Amino acid sequence: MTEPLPPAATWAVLGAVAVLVLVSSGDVSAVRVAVLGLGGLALVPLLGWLRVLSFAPVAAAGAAAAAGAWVLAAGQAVPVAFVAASAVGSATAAGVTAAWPVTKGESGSAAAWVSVIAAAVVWGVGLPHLRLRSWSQPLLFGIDLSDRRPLAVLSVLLLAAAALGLANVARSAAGREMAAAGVAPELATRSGADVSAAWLRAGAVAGLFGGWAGFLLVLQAGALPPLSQVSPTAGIAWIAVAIVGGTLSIPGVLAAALVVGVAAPLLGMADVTLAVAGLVVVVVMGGRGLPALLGRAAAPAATPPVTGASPP
Amino acid sequence: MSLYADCLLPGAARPLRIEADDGSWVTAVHEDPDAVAGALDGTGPGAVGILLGGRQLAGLGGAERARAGLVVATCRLPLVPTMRVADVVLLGLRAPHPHLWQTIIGTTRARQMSDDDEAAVRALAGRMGLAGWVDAPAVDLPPVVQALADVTRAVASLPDVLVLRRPEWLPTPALAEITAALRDEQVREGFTVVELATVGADPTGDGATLAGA
Repeated sequence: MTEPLPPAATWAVLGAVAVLVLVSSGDVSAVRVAVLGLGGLALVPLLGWLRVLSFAPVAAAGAAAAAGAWVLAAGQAVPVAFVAASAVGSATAAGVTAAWPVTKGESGSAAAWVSVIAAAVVWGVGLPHLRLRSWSQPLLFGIDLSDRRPLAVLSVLLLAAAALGLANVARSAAGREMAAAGVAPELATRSGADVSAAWLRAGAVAGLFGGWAGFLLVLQAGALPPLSQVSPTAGIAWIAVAIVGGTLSIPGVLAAALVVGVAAPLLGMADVTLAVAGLVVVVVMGGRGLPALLGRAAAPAATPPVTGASPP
Repeated sequence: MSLYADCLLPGAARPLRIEADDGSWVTAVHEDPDAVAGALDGTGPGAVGILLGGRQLAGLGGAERARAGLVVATCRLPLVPTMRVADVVLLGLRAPHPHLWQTIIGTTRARQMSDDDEAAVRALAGRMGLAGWVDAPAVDLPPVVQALADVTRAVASLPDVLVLRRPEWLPTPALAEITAALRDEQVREGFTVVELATVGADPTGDGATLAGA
């Protein structure tokens, strides 16, 4: 299924580019890249494994942003806000993508529609009505996380943690069940795998990473993030990044997030514009995303079968 | 474990009764063995009663039946580029799973479990004659590899009763090799095998042939 972790060299290159972004930019590019990357990674279990086009991560980000901002405004510490934000985010995403429609026997496309509605409700109804007055400094071990540099470091750390976590899930029994639940549900059922639970877990993982993205936006804004950053439009940008990255390739998604996050402000474009433009290029080229364009297969489909020990 | 199953398939005049003693290899013939397989694995209607070692499974869903020890191999695989043959077999492995959070964090125990699973599957695939195919993607697989991979998946789950939809569409030597490999595993693990065959197809099983509908 998902491509295994790339060799250390690839990670070194990605890390070097990330450091470059941190050092060279006076802008808040690290947060942009991290938010795009977390959103794209959150879509790997949904779009890549379960094959459902979902806005759940952006709904999760909105819910997490609301929870995080509320806890911070109540004067709580950052770890509390972070845990609250990711827990609420993942619960929302799991609920809207999986628990409700699919465990009720509905199809994945029903879940996709519910995720759109959830994202729109969080964005249109939930966030604008949250009135927060006071605001505590977000301190973690005495470091003010609303500062640009610590925030950039935190962004890169969260992005790396999400990539490693997702790679761990991909090679685990839970990840294999998620992949099978999407493309071969009957085979999964015959093997004793609980398809509904697999959807729930995929929603939880996606919600966790989407929640981290929402939390970063809270820290960056020092308040509730601007609504545009957790709107369904942002969801479109995340979906485009995931597809450009190859949907199954974790380094591919990271690379796509880097390109869009760094290039969009330089070109004076919105993230979503550039991401969708990249998506169009990828579709026109007929590739399975960035890794395919660069000559690396996103999925093992291009690998010829081993014929050495051919069975009878 | 013994199996005692009654299937009344839609449109069938008489019920099909399958009786298999613990550790036996039984062949059941029917006009539509695929429908019987579907009734047994819960993907289709028609299972009136399924007694597995005295436990009634007919009311359970497909996944619960498999976890209870009744596993069906249809010998056909959905062809999906995102899964390797090893992933198909790993799906059958009912080894204890780590919690999701342990998986995400990648605790030593969770990683060890993943590695153990992979090693177990490679060993089993080697015994079943699937060694060269383990890393191949599950697309464009020859029918014989599909059948062998699905049987291996079923064996990997260490079932009490393995229901084999006999792959009659394969050439006889290939069918014989799959049967022989399954028989070796049956001797090794001691599960019961129920083979579903089409009426009129050449029966190769040496178990009792039971009344079909």
